[in-house]
Amino acid sequence: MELHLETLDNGIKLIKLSGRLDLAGTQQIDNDFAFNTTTTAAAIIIDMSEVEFLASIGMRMLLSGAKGCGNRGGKMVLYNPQPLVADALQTAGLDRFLPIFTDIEDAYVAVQP
Amino acid sequence: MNGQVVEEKLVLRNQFDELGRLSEWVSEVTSRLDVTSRTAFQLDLVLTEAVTNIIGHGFMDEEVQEIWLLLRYAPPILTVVLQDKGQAFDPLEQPEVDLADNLADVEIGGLGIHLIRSYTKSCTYQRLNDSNILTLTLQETGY
Repeated sequence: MELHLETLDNGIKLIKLSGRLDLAGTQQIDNDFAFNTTTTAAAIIIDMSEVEFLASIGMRMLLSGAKGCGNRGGKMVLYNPQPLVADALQTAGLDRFLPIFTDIEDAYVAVQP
Repeated sequence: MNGQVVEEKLVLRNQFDELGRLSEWVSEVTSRLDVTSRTAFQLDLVLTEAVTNIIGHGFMDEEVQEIWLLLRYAPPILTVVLQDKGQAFDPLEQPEVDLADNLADVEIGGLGIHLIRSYTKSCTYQRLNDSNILTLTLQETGY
């Protein structure tokens, strides 16, 4: 599991996750993820396009990030999850708190203060 | 598979690092059974959640014990029976996730059982001969 952080010219943090967000994968990145999502008020887009699998432990990590980000006045959304991952997110009801976008321009607009 | 019934078995230890071996087994078995990627994903997810629950709740001491999985595919029905000799634990009695309307009020937990219920056609629990027996069925939809 890998996490790659990029700060875009428009100030948005783009966090790209790659791999399986199961127990082992989540443990590999959760400290890094929490640090990058909950320590500053930020506009954050999580690029989910290379996440192949998502278990409840990974969903909890995403939800904790969104909660911490929101508590600091920021906003976090998900970008372009694979269809089966998107279905799992929707089945769990997480899309109510972590809006899912397939168009990056729409995601930019959604996270702007 | 021409509609024939196929059975596969796996034995795991009650340790979280076995979850990787579980997913590898699911991947290998589902590709052999030629089920759709949707069914393979959902089977991986429900078994990951079920085994995580069993390991987390079923055993009080540190003694290494086994969890047996028997998968039976009688197209289009996939049935997995999970059996262990841990303390009586019915995961289906655990409270489901209760996602509040407001993100700040969300309590994070109970997602696993919600996913199991959502992605299975049926799920049942029995306590029999000092064993926990959890039976999950999924239906291959072909798409």
